[in-house]
Amino acid sequence: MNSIKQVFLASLLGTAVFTAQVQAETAVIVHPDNPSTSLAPSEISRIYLGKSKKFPNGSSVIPIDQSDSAAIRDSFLSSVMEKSASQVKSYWSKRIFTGKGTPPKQVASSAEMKELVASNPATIGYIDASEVDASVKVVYSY
Amino acid sequence: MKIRVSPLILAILSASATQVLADDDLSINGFLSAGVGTLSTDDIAINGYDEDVSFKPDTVLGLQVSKHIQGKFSLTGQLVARGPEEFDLDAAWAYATYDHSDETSIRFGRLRAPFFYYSDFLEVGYAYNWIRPPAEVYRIGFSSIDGVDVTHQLYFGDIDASVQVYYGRFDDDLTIGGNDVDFDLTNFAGVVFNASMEPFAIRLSYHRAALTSEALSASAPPTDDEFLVDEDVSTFLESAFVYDDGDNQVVIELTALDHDSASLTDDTAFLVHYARRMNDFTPHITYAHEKDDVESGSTGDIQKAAGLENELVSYIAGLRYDVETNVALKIEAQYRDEKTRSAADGEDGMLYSAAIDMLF
Repeated sequence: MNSIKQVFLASLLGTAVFTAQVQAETAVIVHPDNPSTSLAPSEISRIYLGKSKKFPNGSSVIPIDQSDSAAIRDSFLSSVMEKSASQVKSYWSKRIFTGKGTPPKQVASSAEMKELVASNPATIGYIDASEVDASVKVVYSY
Repeated sequence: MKIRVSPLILAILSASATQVLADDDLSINGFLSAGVGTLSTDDIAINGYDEDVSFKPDTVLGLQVSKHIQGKFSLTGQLVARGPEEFDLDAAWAYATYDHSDETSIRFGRLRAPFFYYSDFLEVGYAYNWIRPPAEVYRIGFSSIDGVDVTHQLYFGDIDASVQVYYGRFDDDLTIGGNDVDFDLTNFAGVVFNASMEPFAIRLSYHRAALTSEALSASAPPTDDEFLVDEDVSTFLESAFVYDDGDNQVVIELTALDHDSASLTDDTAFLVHYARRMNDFTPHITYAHEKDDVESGSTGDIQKAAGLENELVSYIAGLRYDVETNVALKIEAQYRDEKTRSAADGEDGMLYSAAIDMLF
């Protein structure tokens, strides 16, 4: 009985660990001093579309995006913003040419993204969860 | 809410970060559309095309510069070179922005006249499926005015909304039937209301101006004051209803133009557009209809005698192919049926066109 229980527990744990790994692929990060503890995907989406210019607590926000060619960007757009890259491009083409805003600045790598977010409490970014350390705070992960 | 970091440190950090992101301030963007097309018959007229293959009508280059100046002030300029105008540079936009708050901004200078759903990005072909918006509905002969506007953004729950109010003047010549005709539209004002709750969006707008034209007044029949164009009020009403779930897109736009002067006919026009996105391919179909409403009685008889009555119908089928994220290829076939042309029976025919749209 004990061994069965152990196998069952082990497989359960295994599943849990596996699930956690799959689900925590990408982390949306802010500066550790940012008072926000968690953000809903809809709030993150509004920030990245330039519709919200502030964090829920009222402080200004500067969203930072990964480069067009980064695989993590496609998953961020589809999972968090529920849009394709070309839809986002089309959205910004309308905003840019009506002077209503410019798309978030893009960085070349996750390392650069983390450095920028770690140095500026106004920024928000997203990186692979495995790269998260104490220099940044996770407000959403998927 | 308590913040652990002192405001001073936050300010210093933000300042240093602003430097890191300093190139945020100046942005240069542009768009190019290169088009080609041919009509099946010279009996009809669409967008300056004829039976021979033409490259100019749908070819346009735009360059936009935006610069944050200081504090709440920024400037935006969009220079456009259009094929039909021999690529002479024209400022479609040239304005100063004062961002009163995150929600409210004031713009001052040359602005796009916000008549239509696609007005703000009228020449940015990349931003829509057609090679050009249907001329039956997008029929107003100018697209920019000089003035000031105030835009206020609202957000409640899942609904994004904005209200734009503008005031200005348009004073320039417009080409009508190959002739330059002077138009002076004073006390030009309007209000535009936008609301969206994905996948739905709605746009409602109202515009009015006092219209004066010496050339049109000079050609008015001397017996009838109704044909003078002297501070006569013209109004334009527009509504657009949009559904876009990412795969399917429906756009319905309804418009009505009303002139006090009988030298210009009142009309109504609408379009219905459906597009289906399938990865990089977007086939689409459109029906567009414009009909002049001549006055009743003797005024209407004079309007008809002057050939002022038209009724136009178009069926458009097209395909957009997103080759790259910044490049779209388009092909289009348009069947134009002139039910009435210059108060007589019209002709019908096809326009075949193709274009490449790019952004940078």
